[in-house]
Amino acid sequence: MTETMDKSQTPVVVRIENLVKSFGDLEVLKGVDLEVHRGEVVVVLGPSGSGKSTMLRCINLLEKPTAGRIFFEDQEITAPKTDVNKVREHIGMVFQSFNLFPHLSAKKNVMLAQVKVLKRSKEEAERVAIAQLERVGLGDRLDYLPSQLSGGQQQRVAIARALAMDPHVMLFDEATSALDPELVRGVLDVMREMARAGMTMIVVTHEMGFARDVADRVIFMDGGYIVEQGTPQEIFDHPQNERTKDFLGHIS
Amino acid sequence: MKKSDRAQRATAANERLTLRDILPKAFSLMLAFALMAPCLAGAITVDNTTARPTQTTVGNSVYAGDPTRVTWECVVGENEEVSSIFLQYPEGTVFSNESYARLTALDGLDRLEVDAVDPIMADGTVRIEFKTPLAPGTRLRVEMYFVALPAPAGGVVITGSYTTRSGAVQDLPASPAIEVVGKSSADAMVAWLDEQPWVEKWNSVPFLRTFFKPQLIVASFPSLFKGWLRAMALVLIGFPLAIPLGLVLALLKIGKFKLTKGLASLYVNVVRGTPLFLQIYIAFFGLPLMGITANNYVVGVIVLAMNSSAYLCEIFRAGIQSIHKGQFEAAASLGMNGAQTMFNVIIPQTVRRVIPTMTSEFILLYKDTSLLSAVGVMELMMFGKSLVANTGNITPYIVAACYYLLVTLPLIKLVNVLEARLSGTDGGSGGKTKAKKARKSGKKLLSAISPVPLPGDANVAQDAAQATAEPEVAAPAVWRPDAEPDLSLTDAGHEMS
Ligand SMILES: Nc1ncnc2c1ncn2[C@@H]1O[C@H](COP(=O)(O)OP(=O)(O)OP(=O)(O)O)[C@@H](O)[C@H]1O
Ligand SMILES: [Mg+2]
Repeated sequence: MTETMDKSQTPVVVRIENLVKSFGDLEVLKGVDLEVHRGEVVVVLGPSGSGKSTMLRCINLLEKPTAGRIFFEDQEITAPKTDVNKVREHIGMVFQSFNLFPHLSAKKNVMLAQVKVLKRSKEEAERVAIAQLERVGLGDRLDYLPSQLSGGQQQRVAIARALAMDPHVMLFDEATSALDPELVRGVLDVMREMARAGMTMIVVTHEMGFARDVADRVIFMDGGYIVEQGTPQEIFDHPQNERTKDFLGHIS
Repeated sequence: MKKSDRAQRATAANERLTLRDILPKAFSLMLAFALMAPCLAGAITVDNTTARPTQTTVGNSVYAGDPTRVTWECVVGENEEVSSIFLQYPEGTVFSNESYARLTALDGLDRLEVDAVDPIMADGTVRIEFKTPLAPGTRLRVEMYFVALPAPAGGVVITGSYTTRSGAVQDLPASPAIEVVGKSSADAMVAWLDEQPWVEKWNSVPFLRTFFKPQLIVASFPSLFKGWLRAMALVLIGFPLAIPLGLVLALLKIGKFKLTKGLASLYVNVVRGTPLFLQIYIAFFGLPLMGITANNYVVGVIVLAMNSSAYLCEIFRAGIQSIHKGQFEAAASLGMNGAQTMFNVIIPQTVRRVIPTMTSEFILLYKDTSLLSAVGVMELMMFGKSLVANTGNITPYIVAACYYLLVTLPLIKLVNVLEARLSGTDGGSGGKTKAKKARKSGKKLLSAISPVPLPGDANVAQDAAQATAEPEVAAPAVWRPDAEPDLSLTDAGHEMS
């Protein structure tokens, strides 16, 4: 409880104001407001098609918002002349489908953007890569190609790849959904460890256990809106909104 | 003993040709001058030596070992009379028992009686004894039949000596050299085949004789080899040039700039939408009209490269667009810009995927070098064409086909292997536990790329162009060997320039 209080006092890392996103005639996000503080772990729940991924992808501008504003730290990244690549350097993203570079070894996957984007020397990038891969438990798989790794291992390489860029916030879009059940745990453990280490995280997931244990705040989205938000206890034990109740009822 | 004597004389005569012997020669001449001045005033001259194949086959080339008619001519000096002539052929010359020599003497335009013993031809020498010595100024022609010549470097030179009426022996000036084409083992093989009863039987079947005449198979392989090398050179230079061009076109087509995008599409569509045959004609006849004269091969390579670049563009574009959008997003989410993404993430993955289709395109381009024969570029097809025209037999085309297959069959096999390997290992997502799924999705992915660039589809137009072009090119040459419309067109093109 005190911890949560503490985090709401920390600076805002991501602020979303009245975000609207349409694909053609389809309005997916209809006005979303959200503030994420440094060190906070926000879990986003919601039925399929409710716009969770879209919101996440707007934060690092993989989708261009139709209306509304997004601030990253003190910068409005929805402003016209924003250097998109510069913004993305500090926003890590982990995808459902891993998206490792299949032609590069685990270590090279983690090194590439460090060298190209952050202009680190090969030696430093390699040092960081090894450290991050060890952190996610893959110190013995440095030279494996993605095709030689299990899904869970690939996802952990993807996390290491994002972490190597020293992100100020990490976005997870159903990071464990594509994994066989026995591999989910390894990835969730890594995410737990990151949360403990103070990483700011916005996590879209269907892992209710993880949400309950790790989240500082749970957000429930439906129909392009944030319908309800609160602590895990509030959302899971005393949901207020009918749709939240309905959704949680279906899940558990 | 006799032989070594002759050999010595022959070498002595040969040495007269070399510069370092001018001094001793001059010295001996002075000596001879002092001794018999009257005979030397106008020594014998040897002014004409020719050779032709005895049995007229193809062309005028003299082949080593083939029965040949050699003509040797001399003019007796003003102040001497010649009573005998001794001709020395180089080592390796063979006379058979069919060999004989015919003498003709002329005084100006009048034919003179030759009063001589039958010339003796043995061991590469010819001895001619005149019962009545040849008068001064007489032109003597010696025609020697069924001479099998060797092929020494520098050609066959006939030397020898003559005896004057007074009994003085003089060296004959060396004759002009006769060009002799060395006989290859293939020629020997052809000669051997000519003798074989089974070959005769084989050739009595019209189909076999027309398409698979053994002698022509053996003879065509070495002759077409040069054409094959040239076809290879054309494609091995043209294709690598087409690759960067195709890549640039692909990047422009994918890119954001409307103008370059439009221009690239226009270029690709025009090139893919017109036959290569037509493009070749436009280049080969258009450039001279603009006053640009360039080497045939250079123009050929450029046309091939420009044509292939359009197809490669589509292959690359399809390859790049087949890369899962997650790859672009992953790179973008790491802050990589477009160029960084393209060169570090997308193109390296594309390369693996497009190698099979690129190989297919290479095969097409290699076959398409044959179209250049229509404008007189000497390559495999053209070599085949001229052999067919010379022999009136289709066998050289069959041999040309072998040369094409020599390259295309292994490459086709390679494409299959590469495609199998690609679909086996290329799983960007999904792990070992899903190996089977990954393999399946890889295959799907491949078939998703294939439809556009594979020969079976998009390049059908090109194939068709070739199919319609070839008969036009080849047919007249087959049935009317002397009428070669395409070549005459080329000539016209050159004249115009
Ligand atoms: N690029 C796009 N073009 C058109 N429609 C899109 C696009 N991306 C998403 N949508 C639509 O927007 C809606 C919301 O999609 P989104 O992926 O954000 O949902 P989600 O909450 O992440 O669902 P899920 O739990 O299934 O991942 C869906 O109806 C989807 O079809
Ligand atoms: Mg989603």
